[in-house]
Amino acid sequence: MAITGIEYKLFKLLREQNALPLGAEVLELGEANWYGDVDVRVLGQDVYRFVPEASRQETFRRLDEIITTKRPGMLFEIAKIFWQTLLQPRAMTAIDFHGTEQALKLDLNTPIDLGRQFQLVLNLGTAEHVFNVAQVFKTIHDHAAPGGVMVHGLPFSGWVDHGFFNFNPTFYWDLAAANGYTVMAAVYTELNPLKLIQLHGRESIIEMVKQDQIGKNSLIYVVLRKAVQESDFRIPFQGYYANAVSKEAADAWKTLR
Amino acid sequence: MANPTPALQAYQHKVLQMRLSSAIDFPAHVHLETMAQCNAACDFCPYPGLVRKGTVMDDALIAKVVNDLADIPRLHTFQLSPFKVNEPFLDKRLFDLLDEFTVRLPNASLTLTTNASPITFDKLQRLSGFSNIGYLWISFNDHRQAEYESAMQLPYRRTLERLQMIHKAKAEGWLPLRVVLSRVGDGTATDLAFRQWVEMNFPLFSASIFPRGEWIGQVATARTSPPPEIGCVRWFDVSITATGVVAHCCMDGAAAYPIGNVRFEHVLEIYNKPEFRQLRAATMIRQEVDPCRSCSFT
Repeated sequence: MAITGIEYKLFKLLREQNALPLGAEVLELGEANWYGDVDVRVLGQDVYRFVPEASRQETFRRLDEIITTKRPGMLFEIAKIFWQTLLQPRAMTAIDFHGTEQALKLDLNTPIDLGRQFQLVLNLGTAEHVFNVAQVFKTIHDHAAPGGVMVHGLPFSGWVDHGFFNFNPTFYWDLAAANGYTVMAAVYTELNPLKLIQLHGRESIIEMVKQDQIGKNSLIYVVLRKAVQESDFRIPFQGYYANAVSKEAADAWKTLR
Repeated sequence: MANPTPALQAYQHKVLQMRLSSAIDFPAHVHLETMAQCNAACDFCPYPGLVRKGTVMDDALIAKVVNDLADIPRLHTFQLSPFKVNEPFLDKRLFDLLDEFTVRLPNASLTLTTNASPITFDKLQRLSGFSNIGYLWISFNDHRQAEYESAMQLPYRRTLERLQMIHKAKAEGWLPLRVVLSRVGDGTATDLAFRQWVEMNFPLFSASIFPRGEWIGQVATARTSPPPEIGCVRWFDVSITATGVVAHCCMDGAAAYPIGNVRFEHVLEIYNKPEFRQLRAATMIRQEVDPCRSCSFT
């Protein structure tokens, strides 16, 4: 729920590759705030790289005003500037019990119907805190517009007692397979020191495990695109048991223990 | 058009990057000549022929300029040099001004270029109290006494003593700022000899060889090559003279190509005048505009 160096680098790369919908309606599960490991001056200069010319000076001055006045809630305000810079959303809706006054106080353990769909749904460090995690992914599915993008960034290794769950790579690939999502990007990350490694497939992580490259506290970020044809959410069957994984992945399932 | 060297390509890349930064709206570097006076008469500098020689910018105008600069968002960091064609340490107000800049303009990195001869021990001690000084750039130009005195019209011995005092302060650890000894180079073996002399005698200083400039026609020089076909980082500067007139750039020593006057206009208004902004926003090579087409500055 924070914009850390990971989110900063990842979303900037995605923006540079035109992989994110600009001007979209965005749903945040967990309202983002500014973590502080990225110098806010870097964001200031990125305003000039990404915000349309007509509003970039105004955006820059707004960011300047936020950091100068240091009022309560400034970390949420900086995060809004971050999204404004890289996404220029038409509107942002957040669900968060601990966010700003504008955030919707809704329990993600239960079914939610916001009455509309979003071109971009963000689940950055939220699902692991919700016990009924299947419902969270159903809520995301239901609220993503056909062809819309869903970004998940969740703990993979370590993060002891950070939330209820850590998520394995198979979770994302099986979720995608069951629901016809396209895996646009998958990235292994560590926060300190900052590390981002692109995963070209579910087998990439196997190689990293064999090379002893999994850090004590790591996360996996996955960018998924929902199919254009709308369909009901389907709970995935694990790929290994569905005989839907490669021989390499199946062998790893037996040996990596 | 000949292929630019890697150094010129890097320079052009920097110009294009600055276009995509807050420097498009706010200056990257501000020169503020508080007093048009120098104790040297260097043969590579337009000062000896300067019409405004002796002009002192009044306190009220300096305060007005500081107010203007305080309108620059804190998020934008910029370089502030309290000199233009002058010796900043001759202005008795220098340290009071540095104090004011420090308080009012916390996003400014202060930089000083000097011939070092007026820097006394007391001044050096005061200077050491500022943590926001980017560098102290000493225009020394020649390590040989006769050539130094001929080029700069200053006593070599005194300057050398100043350099030794400054170097000792660095060695003792109470002058943390970066010190550079620079030379206006002539492309001869003397340039290398100068660099070696600095390394040998003042190892805690850096050495810099700067090509001799013609100051857009204001200083006679033998040009060896045509101006490069690239943009200019000085399009992102504001160069304020002691009269209040804003010169086209730092190379316009005489302010022969003025772009405004801070006495009557806001600094940011001058910086963002359409014709000057056009240089930053859309001009690819200096040959497209006057007076830049004849300038070799890089």
